[in-house]
Amino acid sequence: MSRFFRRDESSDSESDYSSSSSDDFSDEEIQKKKQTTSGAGASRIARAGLDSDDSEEEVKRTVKSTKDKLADQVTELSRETLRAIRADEWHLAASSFDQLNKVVPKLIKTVSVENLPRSYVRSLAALEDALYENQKDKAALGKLSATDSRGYNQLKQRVRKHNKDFESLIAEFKANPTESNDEEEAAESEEEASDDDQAVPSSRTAAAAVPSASKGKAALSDSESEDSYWDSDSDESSSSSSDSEDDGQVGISRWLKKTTTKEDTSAKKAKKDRAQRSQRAAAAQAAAAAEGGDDDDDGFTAVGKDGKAVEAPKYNERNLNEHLLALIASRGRKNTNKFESIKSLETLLGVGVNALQKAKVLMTLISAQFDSAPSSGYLPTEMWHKVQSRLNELLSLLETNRQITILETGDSHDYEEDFEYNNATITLRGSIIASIDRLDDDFLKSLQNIDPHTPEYVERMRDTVPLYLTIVRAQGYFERSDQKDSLCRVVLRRLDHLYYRTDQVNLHVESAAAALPRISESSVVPASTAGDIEAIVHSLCTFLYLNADTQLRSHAMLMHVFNHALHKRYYIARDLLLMSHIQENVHQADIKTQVLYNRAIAQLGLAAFRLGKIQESFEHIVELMSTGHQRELLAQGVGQQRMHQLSPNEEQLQRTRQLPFHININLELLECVFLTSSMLLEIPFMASANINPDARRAPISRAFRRMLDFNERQVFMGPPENTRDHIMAASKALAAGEWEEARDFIQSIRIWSLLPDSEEITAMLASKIQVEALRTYLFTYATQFESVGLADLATMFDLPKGKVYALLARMVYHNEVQASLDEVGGVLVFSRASHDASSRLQQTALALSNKANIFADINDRMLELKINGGQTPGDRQQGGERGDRNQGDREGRPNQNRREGGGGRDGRDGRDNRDGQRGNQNRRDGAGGGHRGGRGGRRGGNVGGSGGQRRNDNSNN
Amino acid sequence: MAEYDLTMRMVQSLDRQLVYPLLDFVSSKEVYKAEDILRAKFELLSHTNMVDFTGQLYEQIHGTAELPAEFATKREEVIQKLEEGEQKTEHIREVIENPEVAGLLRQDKLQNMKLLRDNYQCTPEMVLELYNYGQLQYSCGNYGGSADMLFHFSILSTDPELTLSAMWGKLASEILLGNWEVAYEDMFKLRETIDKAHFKDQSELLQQRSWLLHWSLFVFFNHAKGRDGIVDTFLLPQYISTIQNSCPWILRYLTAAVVTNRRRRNMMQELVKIIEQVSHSYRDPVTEFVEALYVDFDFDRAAAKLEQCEDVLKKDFFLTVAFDDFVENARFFFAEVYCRIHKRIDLAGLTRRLNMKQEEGEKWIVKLIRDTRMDAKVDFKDNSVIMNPTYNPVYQQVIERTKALVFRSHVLNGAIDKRSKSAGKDENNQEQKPYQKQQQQKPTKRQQPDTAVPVAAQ
Repeated sequence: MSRFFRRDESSDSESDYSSSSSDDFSDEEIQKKKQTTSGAGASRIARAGLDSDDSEEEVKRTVKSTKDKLADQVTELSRETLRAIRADEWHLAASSFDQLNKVVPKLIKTVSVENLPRSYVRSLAALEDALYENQKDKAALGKLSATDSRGYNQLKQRVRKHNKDFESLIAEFKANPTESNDEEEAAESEEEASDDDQAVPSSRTAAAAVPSASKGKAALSDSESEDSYWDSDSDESSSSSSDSEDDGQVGISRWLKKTTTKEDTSAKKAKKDRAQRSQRAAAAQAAAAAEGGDDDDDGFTAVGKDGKAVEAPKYNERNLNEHLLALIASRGRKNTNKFESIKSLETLLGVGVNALQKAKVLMTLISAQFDSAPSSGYLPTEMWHKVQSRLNELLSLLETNRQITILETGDSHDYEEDFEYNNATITLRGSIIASIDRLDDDFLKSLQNIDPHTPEYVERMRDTVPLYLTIVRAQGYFERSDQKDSLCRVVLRRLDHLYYRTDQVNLHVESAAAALPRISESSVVPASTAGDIEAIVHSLCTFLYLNADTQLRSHAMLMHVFNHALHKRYYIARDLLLMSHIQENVHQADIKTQVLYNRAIAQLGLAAFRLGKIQESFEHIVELMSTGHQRELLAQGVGQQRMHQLSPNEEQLQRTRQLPFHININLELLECVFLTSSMLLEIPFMASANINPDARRAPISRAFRRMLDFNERQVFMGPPENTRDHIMAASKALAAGEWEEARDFIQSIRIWSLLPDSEEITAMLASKIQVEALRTYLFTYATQFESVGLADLATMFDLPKGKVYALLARMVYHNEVQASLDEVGGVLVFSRASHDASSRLQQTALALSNKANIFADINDRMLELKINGGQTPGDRQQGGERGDRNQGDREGRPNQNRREGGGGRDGRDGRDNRDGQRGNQNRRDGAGGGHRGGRGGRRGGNVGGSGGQRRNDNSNN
Repeated sequence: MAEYDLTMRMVQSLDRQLVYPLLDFVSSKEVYKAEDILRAKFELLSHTNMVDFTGQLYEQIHGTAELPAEFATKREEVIQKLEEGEQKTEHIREVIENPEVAGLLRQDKLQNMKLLRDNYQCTPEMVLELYNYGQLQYSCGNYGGSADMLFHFSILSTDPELTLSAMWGKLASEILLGNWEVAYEDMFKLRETIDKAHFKDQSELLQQRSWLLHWSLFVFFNHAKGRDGIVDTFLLPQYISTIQNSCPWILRYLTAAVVTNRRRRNMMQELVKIIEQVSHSYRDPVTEFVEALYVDFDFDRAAAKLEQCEDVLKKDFFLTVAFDDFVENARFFFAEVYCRIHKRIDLAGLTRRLNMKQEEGEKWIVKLIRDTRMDAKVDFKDNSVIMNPTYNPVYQQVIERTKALVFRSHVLNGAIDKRSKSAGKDENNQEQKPYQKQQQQKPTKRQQPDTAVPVAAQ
């Protein structure tokens, strides 16, 4: 090995890297690569090879230190010496040698002797050769001029003494003259070309280059092509040096203008250097191949590089561990071929003799397979299937071999003896839950990316059941091995697959799950729940309530709510939601929880609607719908105008958040429900504005009002086309008292068919419309009538007389209309007072008195602020009392709109009451299921305390 | 009729010995099989120390006069324990019952304990003995003794948990003794203690409250002022929560109490709301009556439910006494709503709905009109009642709304005065000015509506 290579040893890894990585690239890339690296080499030599570790970045711009300057000087001078020797101009040689001797000691101070510039050593060697080896005969001497011969003699005396110090270097150089020569001289020749007497030396270099190249060829096996490329290049450059400047070097040479020529030479050198290295690597490879991968570290890299050694069927159970470790170690490295690793792991799997080995290989294989996913995308379906089957394999392995457990904190077991594993209890390091998570996430990601309206999506959806089964199996495993944390996570995953589907669908999935070989009795999902999806979901949730941490618990709870609501168990769902108190701090929760919360609320609204609880339904959905951001809130796509406002980053985030299509809540349905309930509430309310002026100002649903206004402004109205048009048309008809028309409009909305009990719902809506139409009618015409016949109303709105009677009674009792019933005559008699109420002066007076009250309120509050210096609990309490008092006042008012006051109050109190209710629910569960026990009770207690007596608790605490 | 019987549910939240009267009552109403109840009684008491009584029950069940030997041994044990307790507590009882000592005792329990220890050689252990002895006596059915012991203990003990327990014991003893006055006070004391106490677990608080709700039924339905007390207590927010949480059936008693307490008519609205909320988890004829009347305005159904109530109430241990009261008042509420809604009422229809005979009904209605001074007249020609519904004219509303302003302004003024006096001189005077201005404005505002009165009246 030449001195040159030895010095480069520190950059070995780099050379390995480039030579091996080049396998992955196309030829063109190789070329570029080579050139850039050769650029690096160039600079290295431009700096006289002082620090061979220099990275590419430093090349670009070189700010030269004194050290470098000295080195340059030395190189320059040595070249001159050499040239002088060749030209037999000995006096020049002598003077440059003198100069050299002045500079070199300075350089030696900064760098060690070994790091002296190549050219210097070469010039020394050349001098020695010229002076002693090829002793000039007298005749030749005589031909020299006087000055030359004097210089010759001077040198002859001095060089010998001087060279003693550099003996070793020169000897080394001489031992390896060819390599260093052919590159140096190739470069040299280029310079010589500019001088006019190049012919002899250049041919010499060319000659020198050829053998070296052929020597390399002999050793080469597969890096031949590149080598030949470089060979030809060097040949070419030696003969025609002017066009040897490669594109890749332009940039560099621009930066280093002053030393262009040197750069060129060094570039050439670098190329040579490359060629040499690849030769060497190839040689090493060949050696490795020959010795069957039994090499030292070199051999190891060779394995990683192109899997040659791997292909050798040398695996057996004894060295399995070793190979496995090697593969694990190579994981994540840049030069690791992921697919090769997978292949070799699969071979390894066949080799494994016992469960332990298999489990180990499987774990590595699964993670390797996951690694093969593109970094930004998702696992291709095919690969996903493979991973899934491997995971199943691992799970069944663990099912049959109970003594093996895989824990994140387990032992790594990388010792050799595991082929004689004797079924002792053992723990392995690994994480099944991570694999499950990844598998599920990748599935989700793929669904996010596939267009839901293609058969591909449906195709992909088929994997839900196998995935679910895997999750169930994993749950069984965690339960057996008693890993609480993982169990909670996997149970949540399972819930995640169940909660959004109806029982009918889940029944199929569950029956598949039930068909799984039952390894052991599950305590999370008792066998008694089989076939009862509600019970399964309940037991899964209960388990999480008891064991999981806060976040998982709230997720489980929201899913539970969603599921209850989906199945029309509105009260239970509502109580559960309110009991959790999650609405109080959901705004601080992470996005996923918030989305889940919004979904639960939306579903709750739908459930209330299905039960005919229009008011409740409206209250649930109104917040969601009136923002106009319902898509974002439910993570079901991004509103169209919004899309443009988002930065790419945000957009990306939004995308990752999206729920797959099949989980989505139908937004159009949600909107339809919202608008319909808005209509049923708002139209009578608007009509009552006739009596109660407040109604005009404070709409129940602003969104609905806006839509209605817009609709009314339209000059030309065609027949309704979409859902919204239908509802608007129905609203108008309802306002006009045309209940049949309104009913027909509403019932002709096709989207109702998406609800499971659409028949019932349309019937329910019809009766609601009848009732509200009656109310609207009364509100609208109250001032026009002296009395209305009950029987007439009943026929008009096609309602049974009893119902009309109850409705009117209710309105009378709540002072919605100022009238009373005449039982004998069967009529509703409007009181005269209600006519008077429309007097302008009186209304103004009422408004004034209202304002005076508000005024006094503000005064009170200001004083409180002064006294308390801000909001204190006591203050809040007083505020509450005041609120009550105000309500009392309002109740005294006959003219006030009951719905508004009563509604608001109902809302508030209702919440407290519901608070209570939930606890009750939970408690009973606790008693019944035996699961909830303490927790249920405690929650109940929480709730018991929470409703009204929160204030109390505060003061106690 | 076991459908609406609450005994089974109530038992969960009552003491064994408190359950006994319930069972006794139920057996007399023949809701359940006599034998079952006997067994239940036996089960109930076999865990107490009332050996003789349990023995009697055993005889009744098995129809023999011979008792197993264990009864005798148990009897011996109990007597022995009682004697032991008697001896152990002798000293401290003497000390406490000494009027001098009683005079020395103060509010501070630690101080009291110190006093007793220093001057009368009473140790905390002796105090604890009081508790044990009291418990034993209670268990033997000697309620007078247990009430005394536990009372002393709850005064002396420094352990909040045992004190609470002793208070429960005392309350139970007083209830069983029928000392309603004392029990009434004890109950309120207990309520206060529970509300103030800290419980580690919220569910414990819930439990304590639901116990209190149940136990207090004994007191409320027997004490003279009980009807007021029950409405006040049960409608406290924390107890409403408890009712909804853990024992919605208590709603029956609350409803009955509200209905029978005509003076608290304004509570009805609140009650209706609660009933509506809970209706999906609990309902019985009593709540359904209210629901039909106030939520659905279905008078026929309300009448039907009222009829059902009769049966339910008569078989309810607590409400059976209040039955007549309930029906009377329910009718009244019924009539009130009816009159409020109607202008002209068919007398025959109303009396039928009120489940009365024609003549009786007429009398009742006339009486009602006279009592409540409703603006109504009976028209015998049409056999109807004509109501003259009174509506608040606008000026009346304005007066009502502005009525409170004067008072509020006064309060505000007073508060500011107080503040400026206490806070000192200059700086507050400046701040005060805007308020005074506002107050001056207010009366003028108020006057405007007043002037509007005559206009409207004309």
